[in-house]
Amino acid sequence: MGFISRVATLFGLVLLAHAAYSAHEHTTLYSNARLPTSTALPHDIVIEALVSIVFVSVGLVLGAEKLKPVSWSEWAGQIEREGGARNPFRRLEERYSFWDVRAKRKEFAEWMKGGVPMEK
Amino acid sequence: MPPTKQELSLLINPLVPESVQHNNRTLSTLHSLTSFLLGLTAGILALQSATGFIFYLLGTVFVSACFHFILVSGSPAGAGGFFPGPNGGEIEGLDERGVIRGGKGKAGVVSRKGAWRDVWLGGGVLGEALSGFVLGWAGVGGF
Repeated sequence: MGFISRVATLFGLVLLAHAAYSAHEHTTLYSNARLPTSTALPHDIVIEALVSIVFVSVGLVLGAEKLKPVSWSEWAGQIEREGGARNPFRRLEERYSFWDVRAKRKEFAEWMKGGVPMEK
Repeated sequence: MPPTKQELSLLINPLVPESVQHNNRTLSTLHSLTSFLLGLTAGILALQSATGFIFYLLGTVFVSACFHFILVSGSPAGAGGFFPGPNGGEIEGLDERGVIRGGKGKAGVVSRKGAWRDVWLGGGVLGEALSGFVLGWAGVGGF
């Protein structure tokens, strides 16, 4: 989640909480009023709530995980380019080539002839 | 019997189930979260009956539009590059012989047919997200 999306989401949530509190206060205040007044919410609370939901939605969308391509070809191409452990075929792609047994044996024999350092 | 277009599409250009799952999960997470918050807002605004559902509809359309324009439409294949569509992954503009002609965008761009429906109507908009909305709406509306 990027920085902008977090800030937007947080700001939207604060606005939303403030709108909720304001609406709650407004209702308690006007339900106790003796004078017959309108109980409709003031415009500023309505606008605040709507703006907050816009902020939160945009923030959440910006912070959503990145989508992955569904076509196998594109997906495989992406993974190939990125490399790394996500590639499920890496096991097949990075293998030892043929092993020259004779050369290895010779090398080992030479090492034995050269003497093991512990024995010296 | 010749293979259907959908079978041909999957043979020519298979889908990655992991990616499909991941994208659907991303979309439905987003819709659940935002619809709950929409419900809270609807409760705050003290909307009732049909007005509330219209509010939900507008809010969801707004969220889907954000999703579409911010995350999806940047890629050449559009929504068809990220969602399989209702036809099970049929490629747009594919003819009976397995040749992709027409379709939108440049040549070589594979787009799944009808994938916009997954973006705009998918993600549990009429299922779990709606129940989240009602939960938030009723919860706040109770006060």
